[in-house]
Amino acid sequence: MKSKIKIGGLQFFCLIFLFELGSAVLFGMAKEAKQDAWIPILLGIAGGCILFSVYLGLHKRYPDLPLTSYSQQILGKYLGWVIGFGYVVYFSYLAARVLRDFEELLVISQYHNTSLLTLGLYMIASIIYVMFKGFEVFSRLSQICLFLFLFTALPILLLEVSAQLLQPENLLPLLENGWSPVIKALFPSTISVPFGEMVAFTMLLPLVKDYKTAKRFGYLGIIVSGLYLTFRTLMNIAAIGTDARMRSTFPVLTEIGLVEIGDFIQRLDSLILIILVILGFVKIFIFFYCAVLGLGDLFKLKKPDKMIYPLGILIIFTSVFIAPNFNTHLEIGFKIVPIYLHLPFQMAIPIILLLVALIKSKIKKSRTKQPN
Amino acid sequence: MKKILLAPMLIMVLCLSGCWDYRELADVTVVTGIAVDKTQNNKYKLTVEGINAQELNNRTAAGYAPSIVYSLSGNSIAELTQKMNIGFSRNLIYSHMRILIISETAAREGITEFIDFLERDREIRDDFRLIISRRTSAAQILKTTYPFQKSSSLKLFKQMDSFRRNWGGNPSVQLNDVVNALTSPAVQPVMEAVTIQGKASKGPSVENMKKVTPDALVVLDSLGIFREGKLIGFLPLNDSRYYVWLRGKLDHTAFSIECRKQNNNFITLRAYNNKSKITGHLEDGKAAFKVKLQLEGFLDSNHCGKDLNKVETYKEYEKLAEKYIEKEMKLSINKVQKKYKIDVYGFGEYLYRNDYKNFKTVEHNWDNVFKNAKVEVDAKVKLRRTALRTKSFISETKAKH
Repeated sequence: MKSKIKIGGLQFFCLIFLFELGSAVLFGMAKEAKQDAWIPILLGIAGGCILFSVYLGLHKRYPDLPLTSYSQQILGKYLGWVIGFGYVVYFSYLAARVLRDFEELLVISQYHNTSLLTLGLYMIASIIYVMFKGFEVFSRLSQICLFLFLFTALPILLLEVSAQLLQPENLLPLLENGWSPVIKALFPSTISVPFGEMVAFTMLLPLVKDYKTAKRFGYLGIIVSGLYLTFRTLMNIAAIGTDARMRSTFPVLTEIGLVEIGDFIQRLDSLILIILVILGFVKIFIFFYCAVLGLGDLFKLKKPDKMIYPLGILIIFTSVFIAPNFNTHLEIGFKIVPIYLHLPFQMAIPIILLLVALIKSKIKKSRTKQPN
Repeated sequence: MKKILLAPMLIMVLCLSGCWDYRELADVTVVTGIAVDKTQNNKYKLTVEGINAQELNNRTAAGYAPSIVYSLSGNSIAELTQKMNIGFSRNLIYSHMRILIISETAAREGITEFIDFLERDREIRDDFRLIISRRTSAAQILKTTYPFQKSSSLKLFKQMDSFRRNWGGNPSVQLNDVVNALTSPAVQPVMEAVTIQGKASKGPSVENMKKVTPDALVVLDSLGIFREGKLIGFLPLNDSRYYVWLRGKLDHTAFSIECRKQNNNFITLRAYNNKSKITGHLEDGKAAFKVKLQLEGFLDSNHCGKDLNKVETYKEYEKLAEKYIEKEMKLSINKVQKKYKIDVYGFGEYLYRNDYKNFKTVEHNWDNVFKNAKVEVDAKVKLRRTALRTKSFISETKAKH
């Protein structure tokens, strides 16, 4: 399973782009920075690139191994295994969280009589189906998804402009309360979601064709998606204003609901829902798949595919039982997860791993030198 | 393995092919307008107009009532909308709502409470107009029939839109505008007010549609203005037009401007491409603004008898129009400053966006600062053409005598 799959540059780029947009588009980022919300996102790109360079650094040292394997090589068998298992739990938990996000989106916007479980079941079922087809199929699928995305997102952009929805003066005044809300929005929440979530790609980098492709298209993906998110946020603020954005559950839906051209082109909500569900699909798939890979790797399974069904069912139920109501779900997502989960798993552990690996290799070098 | 997978997949496809909670068209009544009144015993009285679609179509119309209007009292609008089946037979759907009428008394006590529901609900969309009913109950407005659109809410919606296009006397207030104004630090919301001309009691019947001059007719009346979500007064339609212009929403309009001799003769200027720009600054807690107005227009009637073949006449009329507009606009703004003492135009918003540091110091009593603000108006009129005639025949007839 490991050695056979090789994905190309464009596919890798599509994966990153769709993955980064995921729930960031849905909830609207950096709301606490008000009309300056686009600044922390722009700055976040740099943070994302730094984090990605850490992941790449690890990948360069262990080009054929996923995170769960090299953590064992770097920190020893037992501690490394525990950390690897931590990542598996982290990825499955995130998959469940993103799933819940999209279940709530669908229930609130369209399917108000449908249970979360039903919606989760359909999403996970289609993901499981693709997963059995293999990761190559998924990465090719992501190319199609990107085109679908572009074909829907661009007309929406045109429609918003022609509906005279955008009021650029909503973006003023610039830096009303100084830099402090911007910095607060930047760290940890904007850096960790979506840029830090690239940590999932530590599991997937071995599947990329070669190191050069991973490096080039990885950075490209982060920068392009970051710029798109900045642009998206600017549009969102210009269209609905800061205040409505702060109060909207899903700002992007509010925004698209305002599009009305000549009593004829209106009610485009379903169009944006299609995009959001596609983005959700990619994001859940990647977290889910990383968890499966991790399990297969930690328990030395010959066929990690066997873990797909149990893990899928676990994710569905976790997504439903994770929080009793939407508000709790959001509160956990914005207050607890970034600090207690994202910070260690996205930043602390990878950086420590890289440092230890560097020190180890130095010691090795000096040892090999000394006898001579 | 593959075959085992196939079975559940096929079953799922079956489930996906339809909506299990769909509602047939024959099962719903479309609500085109709702009205909110105050009652003594309960917080609100909600009135809903559900249309009788058959009557709106000229081919199938049989001469029955075009819509059914029903009222219920209760403590929250959100609950009442779901309770309407006490009177109605079918499921009501609110997504095609065209207008929301608030009675004058309800608006005076505050609109913020039930606006929350309108913004929150997923079915109600932000494409309806908010209106105040002046000197009559909101329910009565909904009940008044009209021969062309038949349903009162559809009529009002169309009427307001046409009025806005031709003369520009109404701002077409949507929910989003109201909420933005309510939450903004420096601008207050407004709403169009309507009233009933004639005998209101004769409005709710098919008979009213059969007359050349209907017994009861819903007419646009004025612009209701608010302070902190409470209605405090009304501005006449003429001021309403200047408000719309300052907010940058004026489409077309027409001015009648008295000739220089002031002999009760007028020229009419039909204006298009109307633009407005506010600039200003704040010094020592005193604000000064400059309003730049720009319009292009053509002459649509000329009593003044000047020779329109000459370029000088164009210039003279342009000057005349500029003076007139500057005066009127200034009067209109001063009236709001002196009488209501609130900023409905968004002057404060300009300061907030361009000079927030200074604005912060006066934000808490902005309306007071606005009250004393100096406003200068500078109009630029470009008279482009004079429609189908050059000289007026009036000057010719005068020449003969």
